[in-house]
Amino acid sequence: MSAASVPGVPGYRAGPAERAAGWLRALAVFVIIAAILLPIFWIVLTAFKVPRDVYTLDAALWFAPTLENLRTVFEHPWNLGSKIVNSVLVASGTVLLAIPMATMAAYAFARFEFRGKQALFLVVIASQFIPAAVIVLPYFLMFKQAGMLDTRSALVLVNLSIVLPYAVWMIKGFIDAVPVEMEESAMVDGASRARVITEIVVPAALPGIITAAVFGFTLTWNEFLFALIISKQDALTLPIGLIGFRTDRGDLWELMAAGGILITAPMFVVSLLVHRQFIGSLTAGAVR
Amino acid sequence: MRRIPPHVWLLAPALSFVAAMALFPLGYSLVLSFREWKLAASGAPGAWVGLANYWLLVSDDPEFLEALAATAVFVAADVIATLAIALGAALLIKRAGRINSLARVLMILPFVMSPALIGISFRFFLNPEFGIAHHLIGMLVPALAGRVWLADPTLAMIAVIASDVWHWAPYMTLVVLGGLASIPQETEEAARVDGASPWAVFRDVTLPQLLPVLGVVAVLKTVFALKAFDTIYTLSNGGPGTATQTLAYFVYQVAFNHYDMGYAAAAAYVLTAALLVLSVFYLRLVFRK
Amino acid sequence: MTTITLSGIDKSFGAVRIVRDLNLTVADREFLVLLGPSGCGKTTTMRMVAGLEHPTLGEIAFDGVRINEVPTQRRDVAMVFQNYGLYPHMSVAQNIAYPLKLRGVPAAERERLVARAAERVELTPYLARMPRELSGGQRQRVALARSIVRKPRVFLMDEPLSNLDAKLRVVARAQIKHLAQELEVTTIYVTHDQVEAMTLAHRVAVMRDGVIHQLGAPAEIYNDPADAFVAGFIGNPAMNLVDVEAEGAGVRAEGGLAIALAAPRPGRLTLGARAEDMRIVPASEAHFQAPVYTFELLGEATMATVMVGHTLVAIKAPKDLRLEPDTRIGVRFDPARLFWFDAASGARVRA
Repeated sequence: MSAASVPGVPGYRAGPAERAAGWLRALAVFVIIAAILLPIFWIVLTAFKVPRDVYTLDAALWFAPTLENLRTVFEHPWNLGSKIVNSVLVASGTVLLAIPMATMAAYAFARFEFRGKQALFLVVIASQFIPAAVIVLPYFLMFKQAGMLDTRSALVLVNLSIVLPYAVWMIKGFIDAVPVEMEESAMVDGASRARVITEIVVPAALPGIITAAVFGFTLTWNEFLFALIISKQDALTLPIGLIGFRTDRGDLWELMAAGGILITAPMFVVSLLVHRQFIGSLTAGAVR
Repeated sequence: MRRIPPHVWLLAPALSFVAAMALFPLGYSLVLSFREWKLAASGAPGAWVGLANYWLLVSDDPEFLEALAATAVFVAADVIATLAIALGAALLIKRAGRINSLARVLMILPFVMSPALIGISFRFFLNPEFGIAHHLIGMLVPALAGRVWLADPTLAMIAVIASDVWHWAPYMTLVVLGGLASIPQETEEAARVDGASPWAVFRDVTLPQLLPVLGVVAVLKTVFALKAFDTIYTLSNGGPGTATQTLAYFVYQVAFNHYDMGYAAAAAYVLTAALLVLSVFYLRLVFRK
Repeated sequence: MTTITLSGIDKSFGAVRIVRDLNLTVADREFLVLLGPSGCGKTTTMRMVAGLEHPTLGEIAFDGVRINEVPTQRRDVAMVFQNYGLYPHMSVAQNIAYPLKLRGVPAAERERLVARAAERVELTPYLARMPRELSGGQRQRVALARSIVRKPRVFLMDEPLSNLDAKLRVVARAQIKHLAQELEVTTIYVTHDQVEAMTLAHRVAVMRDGVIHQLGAPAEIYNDPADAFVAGFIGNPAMNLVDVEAEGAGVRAEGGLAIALAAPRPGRLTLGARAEDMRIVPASEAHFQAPVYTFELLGEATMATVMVGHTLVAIKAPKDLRLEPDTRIGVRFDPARLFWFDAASGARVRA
């Protein structure tokens, strides 16, 4: 029929330069992974060291691990337990308020045409760019007068200012991707607008809504400046709890590391659970 | 009675919160910046002073001007380093493969970590006695072995930038990866068929198509760098002296250490002006049709 | 000036074997079409010739020299992509000039060659436009111009007409045929459209599941299909293929309909006949009779469809014939234009 068959001849033989380049790339990727993981790894190790092992590099990797630090941070005067409670309440309160409002607004932006829509949407997006100091200054003064300083509700309110715009934008992106025919066929079948939203749009955009919720939770959970200014004692959150380990006796690194694990681990877990949608929606805005 | 159209009640809650939590403070701070208000002395705002707060900033406050300079250095270095690392890392791991997808997943971790914790950790790593990074860098670069990082203005600035880059570069890598993925693969293949070397493909085909995304990354990172506070507060406290005191940190100091609210509002508005200009750039880049 | 030889080519993506032990020689200046349904490995085969994929096993040679390790940019091939792969940030002129620029052709010479290539595909008025400002047909021509602006060793075209509407496709097909005759460059053309294959090719390779089922001139493939797959893939409408069982002097279709044709051998067979090789005849001359299922006017002819067993069989009829559904008609085959295939393997059974 045609040329004689040459069975078993390798289809591609990489040359030495190509192989070297491959190794270099692998090495570079390894360096990237190490740059991400080593600092985290070192913090985790430190959390399980007794102070004597923290203040020397001789016990860098070989030491007798202890759970003492993870216990101590929950005791007086650190009381990370109450700070965890505050962080959970503030973050979930913010998300629970923000997500329904953001979903409604995102739906309106995605599906309705009305005058000034573009301008309103741009204002919502641009409001992320207002520096935190500008937002917190008036509210610090107002909360002070209203006696709301050092309350969790005050923190929820100011955190809404950062979470809402992100959530509106993210959820709008997901609603845009829901085919409008789905809604139209539901309406033809006799569903009201409210039922269309709750029974068609929300379930279809649920991965996006969950991603926005996770993202909003993360932002609030890690939020530092608002908490630093507004909370004093009762409403202290975890990030502020961390700087409490900077004492007159010096920095208590092993306790900071233990606190660091507590603040970081939940975020790692949830973000890895939703990492696919997370990466997709975080990058979608910039590249569309 | 006229029926309220559905988009109005759908938008009302979110928009009223945005107005109350973002736009109202924006106006309030502007008004505040024209008044004198030392919170330690009085619970109520004081006299109207016109532009005096602004005039004082530029005419008679070396600390503010230093903060401007520090901000310029911090932002420029931060943005350039983040862009370079994000582009390099994205090109490196864009191909399919198990290690590369592991790297992609790990990129999320620094982004979801508390910036305050990152600052604290870097402070720990750079401790001159038992800091692991201090020790390792000293081995690699003997000239830096004996230096105390956070006591040296230049090194402290590098440390602050490094901590912010560590926080943001992985996220920006994901953004650039998204940009790379949106480039039609056929254009790169067509260039190879046309005779382009890998470098020519990158220079003539990939990079030009990636520029809009790199622009977004640059503007976004500039915004985040201008707003950066947590890592600076926890890593260097703006020090040594005021070496790493950026504008955002300066505003915090004036408002909540000196309780000089009007003056802080004026300084904050300098920052706001810069950010609003950037937001226009950003919206143009993202929403251009 | 270039003969392409593929010897023992195997390509797997992970566990999926896309191309299986493929052997093929494309002669110098030949226009060879790789034809097959999607997923048959035809595009992968072409991409291996371009160097955009590496074969897992086997050898690809240009003029007898192994080129497996030669990177794409040094193979001196030109390719038209299905979605054209135009550079969106370059004007039409810059797109066409890019291969020349990479080869260091001086600017003046470049301009002359671009102008000539653009003229050949009637793009001269659009040279300053950006790709996004062009229609689909114009984009397709830019891709064409970019590949003919230089004289490559090999032309590769990957479904270049599939994104055009039906009318434009006919025009563009003629244009490609004309260019190919003029340029005399060895060409591999990938398509799933058998009309393109029949009209353009010197030879057609019909592929399925990574294997070439038949390689031959268009007429050969049409008139003498090697197996039931090729028979069913080529021709419009597709060849009628009816599963039958030899019984007595004739055959019987599934469902019991008797057909008065002598089977070449006993057992289960597939009977193949094209619509134009069957006639509607009086019952006395018929090989079988069946009621009309549908009757369609095609303009230059009519088409009667009857149900044979579980299979619809189309019969081309004169343009002035009119039939009502359920009319019982007699059908006669042209014995010289009848094909038998093994029902299980699809292999041709010659009488």
